[in-house]
Amino acid sequence: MDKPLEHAQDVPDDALLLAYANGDAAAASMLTARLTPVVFGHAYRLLGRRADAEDVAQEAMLRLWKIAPQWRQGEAKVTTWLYRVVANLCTDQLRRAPHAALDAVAEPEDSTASVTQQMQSRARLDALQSALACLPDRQRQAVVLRHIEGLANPEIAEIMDITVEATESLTARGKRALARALSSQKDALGFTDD
Amino acid sequence: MTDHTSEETALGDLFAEAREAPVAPPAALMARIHEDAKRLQPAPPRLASKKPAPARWRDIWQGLGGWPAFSGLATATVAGIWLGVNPPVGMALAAETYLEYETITPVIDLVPESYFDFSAEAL
Repeated sequence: MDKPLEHAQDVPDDALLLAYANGDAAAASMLTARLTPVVFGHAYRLLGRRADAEDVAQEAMLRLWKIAPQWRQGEAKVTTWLYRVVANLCTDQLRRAPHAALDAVAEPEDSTASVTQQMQSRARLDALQSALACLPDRQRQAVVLRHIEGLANPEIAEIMDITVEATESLTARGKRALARALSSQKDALGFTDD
Repeated sequence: MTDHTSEETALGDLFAEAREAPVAPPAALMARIHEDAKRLQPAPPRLASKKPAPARWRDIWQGLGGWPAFSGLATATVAGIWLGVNPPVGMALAAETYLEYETITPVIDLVPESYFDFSAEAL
């Protein structure tokens, strides 16, 4: 049972979840490794606080483990379900602590970038995270899903339980609001007036 | 217009930068989530064990029909005993009628002209 699944990267999430529900220990490890970064990253983008994002990520994954035995294959993508759970948990979290300070974005290790480049990159990502925090919750969620998670509008519509048209509108408004919020930091972001 | 385009481009670049720099979860969080997964994971289904050979009496019991047959037999036995101990009035009358009915035995004399009267001897 502990034998790792062959070609694990090709196995869809819902098949791994089924294997998990059938007691496959390797599936538990692979799902953790595959989905935790997705869940934590999305929670962080919505909340801006690492500690809160950790709590949300753990709770979202806990719900996934619990629902695994009842999961119906082919009905919904596991990530779609997780994005929705994360958004709901983040909404609850923001209601409880709406004004907490934002953390700095952790920069990934990159040996090819100079220290100056890394600092500039960090400054830009911090600015983006701060600007995202200024958006209304739904706009922030739509912008993050569309432009950072890279999802298509129909999937975002399913996650947010709205129409595709409403998704497009929400994303466009969010993006405009984000541009306005970032306009005060043109130098840091590389915005030019010419 | 140029300003707007420049902002769009810069924002697009910023999004791309954010996509390429995902926020990695801390190792401790990964460990906690993995522990949760193991703790809540259902046990693997047990393979059906090979059944021991059934006992001889079980074969006989199953051959007779098992519990359903036994229950029917028990019901019939109890009903018979009860009818014997306390028979209904109608049943007694019917029994008398049948038991006291004169028996007629038809006899056919196959050799009427013979010396022996077989039909008379038969009766």
